[in-house]
Amino acid sequence: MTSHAPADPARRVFRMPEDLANQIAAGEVVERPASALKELIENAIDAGATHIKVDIEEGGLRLLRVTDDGSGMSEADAIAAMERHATSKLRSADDLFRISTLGFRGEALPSIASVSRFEMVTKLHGALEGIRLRVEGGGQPVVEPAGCPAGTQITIRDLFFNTPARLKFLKTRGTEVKHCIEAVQHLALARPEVGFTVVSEGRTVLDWPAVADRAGRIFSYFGRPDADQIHPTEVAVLGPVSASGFIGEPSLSRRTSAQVITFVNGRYVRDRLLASAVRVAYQHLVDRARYPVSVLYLELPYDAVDVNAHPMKTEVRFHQPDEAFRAIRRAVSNTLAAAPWVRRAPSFGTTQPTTPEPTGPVAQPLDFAPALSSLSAFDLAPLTHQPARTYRLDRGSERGLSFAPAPERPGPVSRPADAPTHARGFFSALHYLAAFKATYLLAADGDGLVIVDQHAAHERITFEALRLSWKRERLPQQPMLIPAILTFSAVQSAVLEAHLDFFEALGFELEPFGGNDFALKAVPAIFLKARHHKLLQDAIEELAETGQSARVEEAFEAVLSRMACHGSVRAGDNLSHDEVRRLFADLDAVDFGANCPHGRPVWFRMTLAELETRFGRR
Amino acid sequence: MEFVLDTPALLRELFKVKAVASGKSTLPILQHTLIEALEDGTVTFAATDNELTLISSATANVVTPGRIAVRASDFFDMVKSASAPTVRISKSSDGGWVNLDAGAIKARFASADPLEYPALVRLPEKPSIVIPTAQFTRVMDRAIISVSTDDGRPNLTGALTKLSADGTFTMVATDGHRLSHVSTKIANFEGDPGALATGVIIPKRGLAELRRTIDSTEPELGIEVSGSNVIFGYGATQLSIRLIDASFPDFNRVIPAEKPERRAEVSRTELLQYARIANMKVGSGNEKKMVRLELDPQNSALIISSNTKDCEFSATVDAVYSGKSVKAGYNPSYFTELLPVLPGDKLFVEMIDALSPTIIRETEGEDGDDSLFIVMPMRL
Repeated sequence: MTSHAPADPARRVFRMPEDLANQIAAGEVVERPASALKELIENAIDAGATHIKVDIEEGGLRLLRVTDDGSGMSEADAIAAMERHATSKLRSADDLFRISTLGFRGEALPSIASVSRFEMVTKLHGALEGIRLRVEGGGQPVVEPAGCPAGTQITIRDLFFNTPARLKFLKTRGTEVKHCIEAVQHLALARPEVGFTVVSEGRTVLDWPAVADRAGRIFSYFGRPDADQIHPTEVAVLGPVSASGFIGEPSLSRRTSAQVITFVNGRYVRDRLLASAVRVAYQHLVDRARYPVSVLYLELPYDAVDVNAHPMKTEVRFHQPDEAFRAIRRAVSNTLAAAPWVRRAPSFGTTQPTTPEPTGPVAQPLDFAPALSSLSAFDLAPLTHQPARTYRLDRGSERGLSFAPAPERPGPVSRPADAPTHARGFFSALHYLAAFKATYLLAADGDGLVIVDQHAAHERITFEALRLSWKRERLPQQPMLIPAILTFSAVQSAVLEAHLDFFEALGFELEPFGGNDFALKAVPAIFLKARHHKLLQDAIEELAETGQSARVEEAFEAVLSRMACHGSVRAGDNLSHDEVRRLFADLDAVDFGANCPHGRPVWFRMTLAELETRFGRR
Repeated sequence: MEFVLDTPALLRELFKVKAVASGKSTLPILQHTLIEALEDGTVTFAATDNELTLISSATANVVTPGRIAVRASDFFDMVKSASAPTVRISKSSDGGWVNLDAGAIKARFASADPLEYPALVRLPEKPSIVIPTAQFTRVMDRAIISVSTDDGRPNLTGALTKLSADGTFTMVATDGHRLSHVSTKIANFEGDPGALATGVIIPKRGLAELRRTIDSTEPELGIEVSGSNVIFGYGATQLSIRLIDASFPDFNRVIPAEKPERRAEVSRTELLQYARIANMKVGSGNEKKMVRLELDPQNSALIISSNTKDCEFSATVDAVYSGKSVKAGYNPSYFTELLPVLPGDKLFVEMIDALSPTIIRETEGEDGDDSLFIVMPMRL
């Protein structure tokens, strides 16, 4: 026994100090300012507030303040609330399965207080005076009496000041502001009876008055003109489950799923199952690569859903997932089926099951993966589209095709900039035959049939011009004679403001014009005829989405590819012979190998031999 | 209801209404045209999509007066293939069906209840404003080219139309980058401009429909602003257009003050010809086209040039000019769209510098016309 050295005291099992436990819990609950904000607002709502004001400075890292006119707390309750697992909302384990309040874990306040300089000022209605409670990085609360209005005001300064590791993971201030605003919007969408104001850096970015019903709130959320294309759904009841909400016209579709918003018993959740129910209902109305716009509320008995699946409470577990799925799908699809505002897409002949589905005027999914972008467009093609399984498609390699009269196709990038060349490229040398469905251009070379998707082709050309402009050459810019005043949502304007230099480099001249308005004073000449407001909204959405994960360059290229879609001819546009010739010539000038915006094929070729095989001639 | 009408006359009327009664409408009744046979021998054809309403009439042999509502495009397609000189249209006694009898062709169409048809706004017997058709179309043709197609800026998707009490008729249109300001003086104008005194915005689609159906042989055009619609009457046809409810931007601020010393007089046809060359596809580049104009007082010349990496082009035309040397670049399509609709062989070009708006002005407008076009130069 004596031969054994005493165990290293540092390795023995100790009960964690309270502060450390709180900091660990904070890692789960308080991931970023927006998550702290969400917890505080939930508390305010649970306290019966009718108006909640949020102040944000430096993306919530310097200051995050939530002021409510709710019930307020007594001194004893306030001190108790700072202890871990203290809650007024849950008494027994049974209650856990019947949760009707937003908060319940009793983790939020102590967790937040453990990673910030925390101050709470609160007064009960009717009480003579309130209290001020301060906690700095955990530690013991310091309490003093305070004169204040009824309700609670919580101020969080210097969030994560004592957890530098967490601080490092945070994104730019603009991104954090965006997350904060979204957090408020999600809570506000579920509680129309509560008014919300958000002030960021002294600027009011969101001001939603209390309204009587959800429709009024939906209107605030989408704003004009989009709100005119949002319609209420019918109420679908399936056993104990009911689903209803608001859905957008198919033309309002978005590139990301951020606007497929779902609530379960008034709680915002991101649930793949519910989101897929919405998409299934919109099948064939919205391009597969796009997402419809919808805000849906699912109500079900509190014991039929487990909201305690994740500390952030944005995930839930359904006991009967199938019912939830069907209720949502039914509410959406029945509404769509009866809606006079739905215009069904023209259907292609059903006798040709191998025909690829028509790609609408909108572009394809953003299969933007850095590893793939170095491949040629043609290598990518089979990954994304399978036009006709029975054909063996000869996409060939773009160079050295035996049928092309000028196999060494010159591209502007690969040749000296000031040496004009007059060799005809592969596309220029094609013999143009006809357009099919005003979308696919049919052309012939020596012994093959070449089919070009006009939208994809033009999009690639526009993308290339944009990319060049962003990288080095500036594109000609068309100033406005009369600037356009564009109104954005709070989130959009936060993102836009953070990326103004990017838009400027491309040739957009935008100036803040008060509130969330911007004056558009010049556009890149290639976007002269585009719908500028929509184009910018799309680009901002793309930035907001990819900006978080991708490298800056990838994010911007994704935005460019999305913009390119706006500056391009659409599927369904009738092109004259001259326009087709010009398009083909432009295609020759694009360096396909350099980068591909969507990873979708622009063209494919079927050889005569394959055609003959199909007809049994071989 | 029953009437007999000449086939070409019927086709002409159906052609007018079918464009308005588009199949795109979400209200099924609006895909129909309302045909009404009156005791006095006129048959009216009406179609509406709630934004445009077209009413037209023809003289027929009316056997029994009455009303029917039929699908405009189906009816048109059927009548188009009729070879008989006249077509007899009647409502069948078993209700719901409309019979069409044209020689060898006999058809019957399902019809809708004419009572469901929305109420139609009509031009009053004596419209408040009557102006010469030719003057109106001249102004409209020059304004319509600048109307915006960006529905993100709805107030620019139509032309501001004004009439002052002294008879000055003006249309202003802009897409945000260029602007047309066209006016004409109506001789001996008498009447009340009403809402046109402050101006109304007429959507481009309505103007295009007006252009398509207007009868240039009719000397006069009646105009009436009624509520949120403007109604045009020409011959036996009237077109009601729902106005754009928005405020037009204050364009006066962007019209530079008149400075005759900046003015160069050049040939319209030559400028057009060379702008077209500058707009041509040359080589394989995919650059956005730009045409450069340079006023050279030394040689009294306007130099038109374009420059891509595959081709450099320039042309020199005579210019009457004594101002300072100035140069700017433009989107060539502004010139290729504008110049063809201008009359006369001469025009004025007024340039300030490479960044300021440039004015193109008519030199010799037809009687009472005064046109001014502003284009914004491009920046490199």
